[in-house]
Amino acid sequence: MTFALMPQKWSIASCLFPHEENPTLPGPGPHPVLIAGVIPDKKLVLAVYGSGQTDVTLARGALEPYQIQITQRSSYLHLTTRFDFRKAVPIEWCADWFKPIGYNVPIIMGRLDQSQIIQANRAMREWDDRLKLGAVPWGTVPMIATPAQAAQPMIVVKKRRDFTQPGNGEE
Amino acid sequence: MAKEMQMTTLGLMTHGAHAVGERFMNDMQISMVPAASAPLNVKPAPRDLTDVEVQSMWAKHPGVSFSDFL
Repeated sequence: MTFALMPQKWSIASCLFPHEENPTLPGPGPHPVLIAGVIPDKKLVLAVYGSGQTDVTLARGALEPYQIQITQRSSYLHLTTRFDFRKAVPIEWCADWFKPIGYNVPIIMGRLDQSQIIQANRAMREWDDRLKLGAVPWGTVPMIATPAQAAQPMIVVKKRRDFTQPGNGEE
Repeated sequence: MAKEMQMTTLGLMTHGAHAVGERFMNDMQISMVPAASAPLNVKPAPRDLTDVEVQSMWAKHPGVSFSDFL
């Protein structure tokens, strides 16, 4: 069964949030993502999750050059939302990840307008420049991993401190 | 009596039909608003992705880089 046609770059789609324990699997949601790029032959999209409500308040801080803020008035979003290219992630374009937010609502909810696309392109290139300068270790040089490593789920287990052992008490 | 009943029924029918019709139209107006032009009740994600989450999602697609999407 084929899924919906791949979205255009700069579409806004509804996508599940990554699972907390294994981020390579879809978790709760869906929430709006900005589709910042598409690789059709790999069925991959570059998704930028909209930042949470508290993140979009001006009190949080000025907009970084690699972020854009979309007002709800000019888009299909419920709230003014900030998209941070630092947090852009590749996701398979499939029904497991992309779900409509409700009955009769399309998965692709809208698209940025021309002025927003100019801002988004600028922000995306800014983050690409920073990646090339080594801002973070991922998303730059293709990461070397065997298929077995890539398939390995990443489970973060928080180790609890054992207070029964000497030296593990509070400082 | 029969005539009265007929008139009452007619009145109820016309009034009722009007009320139902009006309500139906209101409902229709709500449901007919195109999804793409209405502010949807879709809220931003509850939190930002952590660096660990971002890293593991990139690691799932070795050979794909940010520049590939430019």
